[in-house]
Amino acid sequence: MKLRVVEIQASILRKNDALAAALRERFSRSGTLVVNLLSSPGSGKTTLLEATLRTLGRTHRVGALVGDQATRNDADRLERSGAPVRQITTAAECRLDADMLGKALEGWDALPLDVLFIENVGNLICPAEYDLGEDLRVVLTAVTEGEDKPLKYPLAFNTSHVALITKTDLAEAVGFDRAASHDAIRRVHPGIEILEVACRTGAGLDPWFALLEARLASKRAVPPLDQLRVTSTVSSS
Amino acid sequence: MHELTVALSLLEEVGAAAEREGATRVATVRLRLGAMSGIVRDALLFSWDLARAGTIASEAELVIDDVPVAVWCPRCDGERAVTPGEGLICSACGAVAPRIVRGRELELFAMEVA
Repeated sequence: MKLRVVEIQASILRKNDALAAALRERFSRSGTLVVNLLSSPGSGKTTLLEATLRTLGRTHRVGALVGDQATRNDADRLERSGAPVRQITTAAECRLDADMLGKALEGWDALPLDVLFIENVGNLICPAEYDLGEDLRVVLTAVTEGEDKPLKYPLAFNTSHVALITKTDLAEAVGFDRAASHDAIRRVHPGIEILEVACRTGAGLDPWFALLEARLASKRAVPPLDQLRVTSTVSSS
Repeated sequence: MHELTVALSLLEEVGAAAEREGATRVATVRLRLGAMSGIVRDALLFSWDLARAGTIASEAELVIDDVPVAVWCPRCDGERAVTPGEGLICSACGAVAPRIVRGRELELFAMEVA
């Protein structure tokens, strides 16, 4: 049988992008700030979240979805903050996708939230490719990881809005070069906001909380997408 | 490592396109794969061989066109390459060029069918 060539244009991430867009619209309506945390394993995502849920939870409805390939250890730790937490066990998958997120939100009585944190699977490669409908993508890198993570995994830093350098209380002990670290981050994303935190001492956490508060306030200052559409229909008739 | 998931999504797209075209067999599937897509070429080919069994593409060869990373250099005012491991730095003039214009592709663009 004669072969013929068929041209197609299909991005394999198209389905994820469509689901993420639907999530973004849903969170726009509920006025929920969604924060996606990315890092390699052991950079301190769970520790940062423990402190964040505890502090922000005093004044806001906050919750977290936690992705891990195995165990509920992180979810158990976070639940001690008193905030609602759901675990997503991804088994072989190395990242969360919008479909997993949508399923994890089903029937969750904690909704709607003011701020939803997503603790992605510890991995700096795959999660960078998957939009989860988040407002804020935050990449963490610990001083114990050295300074060159952004050069090795440029996309994670390039697509993030905020870079958090964590465990700064250990900087001196591990000979961390702060200028080199900032320089490496700026070589892949010059305009990114860089914050430095030490969750065990609490140093640097206030600016982080303030950033979240400001982002939540600015999200709520803008009407949801569907309300904007209604307005424009009225004005054009 | 989510190559198997990618192979399955690819087969889903191939199946839908083959049905639209009224094809009975798929001989070749062509994919653009960016160097910064997070996907390992050999792992994807390995996954493809496993995933295609029992589908309309059960004997289809996956042909991968590699796409190198290109950035938009604001100083050169053009597309430029980057040197891996040095950040998003224009290889021609050394300016920081954070706008990635190619290299994230994971796109099915053609197939041969009968």
